[in-house]
Amino acid sequence: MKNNERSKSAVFLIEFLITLAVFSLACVVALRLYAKADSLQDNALRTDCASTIAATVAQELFLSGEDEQTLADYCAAAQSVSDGYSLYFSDSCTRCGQSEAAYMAVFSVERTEGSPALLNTEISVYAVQSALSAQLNDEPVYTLTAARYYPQMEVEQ
Amino acid sequence: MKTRESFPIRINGVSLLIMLILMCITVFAVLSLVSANSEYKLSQKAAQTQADSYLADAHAQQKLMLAQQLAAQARGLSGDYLENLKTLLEQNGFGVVLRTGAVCASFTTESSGNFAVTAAICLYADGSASVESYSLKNISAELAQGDSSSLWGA
Repeated sequence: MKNNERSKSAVFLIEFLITLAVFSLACVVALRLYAKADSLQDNALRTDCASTIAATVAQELFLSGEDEQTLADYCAAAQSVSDGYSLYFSDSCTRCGQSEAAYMAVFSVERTEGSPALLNTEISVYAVQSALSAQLNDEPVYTLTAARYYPQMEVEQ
Repeated sequence: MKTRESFPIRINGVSLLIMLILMCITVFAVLSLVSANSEYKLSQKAAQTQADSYLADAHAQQKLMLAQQLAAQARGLSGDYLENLKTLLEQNGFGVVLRTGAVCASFTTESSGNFAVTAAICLYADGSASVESYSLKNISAELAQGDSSSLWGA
């Protein structure tokens, strides 16, 4: 009788342990899948926001580019960095101060040699956790190269 | 007589419930991963498309600048300005049409990614110029159904 009860307990223990092992294993796999999905979704959001920021900066630059003074004012409003100017953007992809920034857009403005009427720009958007070392180490989230021609400037000259 | 013993580990209601929960967790995890992955791919594609369209536009802007520079060059040559300009534009790969008092040059930029810009600019004898048409075209095989738009509204 006693032997029979002991055997039943052992079987129950084995069954319980197997269930626990399978459950744990499945939970680990599911957690990894959720983590991977979360990271992919984060990257997707970051890419979307970075491309929106780059396009915004390009449009603003080209609107200011028609007039030398307006362009100089636009650049003066940005922070000067080693290879251009930087602007800060929040999580919602709108302009903000450095302290609330989630993204940093670094842009350069060049006039083509021999023709100042062609404005070339390269805009790189970095995630802000790496803002301080962005230009040294980290890859930008998104880079946009654009150019705009202002025929009236050529005529003026 | 010894009776045949059944398999000691039985599949009871609790085991079935646990299996059901596990299946649900796994299915939802996989669905979430698939959805996030497609979202990621879509965002990458959209970002690349934007970069390509801006690059195509940059090439077109350079071509417009070249046309204006050729006009300035033609002004410095002796002879008929419009005839000189026509020759210069043709030498630089523009499609040229001579109109009364103007030379109209058209071009299509080299494709960058899936995009190319087709534009036409008219250069007048008085030195002025106007962009007659400017369209950004998606030339990828699957989307080449006349999908075009103007980036700058020119």
